[in-house]
Amino acid sequence: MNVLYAGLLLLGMSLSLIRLGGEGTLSTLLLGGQSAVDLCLKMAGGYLFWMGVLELTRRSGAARALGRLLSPLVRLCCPTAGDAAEPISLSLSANMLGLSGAATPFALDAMARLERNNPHPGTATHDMCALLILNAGCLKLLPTAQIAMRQACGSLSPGAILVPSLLATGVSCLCAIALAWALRRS
Amino acid sequence: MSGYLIPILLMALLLWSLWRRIDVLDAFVQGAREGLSLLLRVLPPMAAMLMMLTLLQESGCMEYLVGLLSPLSQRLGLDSRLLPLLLLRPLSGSAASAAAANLYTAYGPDSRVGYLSGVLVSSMETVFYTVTIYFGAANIRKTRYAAPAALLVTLLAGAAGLFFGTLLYT
Repeated sequence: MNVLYAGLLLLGMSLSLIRLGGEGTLSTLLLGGQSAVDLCLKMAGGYLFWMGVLELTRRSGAARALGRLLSPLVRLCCPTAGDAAEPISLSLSANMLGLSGAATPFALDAMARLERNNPHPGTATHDMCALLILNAGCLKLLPTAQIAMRQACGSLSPGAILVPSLLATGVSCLCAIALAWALRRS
Repeated sequence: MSGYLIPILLMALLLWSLWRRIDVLDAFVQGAREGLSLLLRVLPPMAAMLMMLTLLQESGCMEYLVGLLSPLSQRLGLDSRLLPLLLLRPLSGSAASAAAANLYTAYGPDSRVGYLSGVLVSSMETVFYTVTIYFGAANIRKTRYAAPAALLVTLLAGAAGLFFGTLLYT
């Protein structure tokens, strides 16, 4: 991951020096930092809201009930998750419903809990890897973002992408489960 | 229809919490407080990611990569107009959405290219973003097999999307 990141950065900078020159390159780099701040400010409302909701689901016991729906899956792929199992299943459920705004804070909470129980801090555990793999291949029941965009661009049947997307993410979901399980064994 | 689902679920949660005699306001505030610290932990890795992505876009690197890969994609029977999307989606959701919007306006959302781009964007996941953010916020430096495995899965999802999309397109 680090190699890829540094490599892409070097590649981008080389090309940028040619096309935009030294100052252009520097200002583009700084622009990235600024857009991160802007993005975080835009997401702040959502984070505050969903984390508030999460705490409420936890205290009321609703989280435990919801978590039970996905718990066979979570137990299969993240057997040593402990108290992170709840936010993991909540994050994956949110992802399935197309609520990426909620999925991220739940997943971050899960990662924090997993790290707290990590015998080798700073190194990813199998459960953490499994969370990311499952998240990548997660079944998407409602691709609302693209349906909305297609409608905005004048599509006659914006929802037509639902079925292939559902089938494709179904396949990737099964592959993700299998891959996470297999990589843990190796 | 689905717009009503979340608010109704939230109302149900509120009623359930009140029935369980939970201090709703306090729960929300405590949770939001955690959310704030979460956000601060997310900002640095996000800055690193966006810095790289903005650079790739502004430097013309993306066009360069697409130019390099189009002969290969032609050989595989993949429409080279979908290449930027395939390359961008694991890196950035908004960049991929922008690319899809471009294709929609250029060729129409109901054309084969438009249809497949919608399927691609919906079935793939912003893997590099999630890996960086999830691990970065928890201060994990050694990510082991997470990144390549997640990338493999999302590319599989993309390939499956192209397969089913091509099959089901009318």
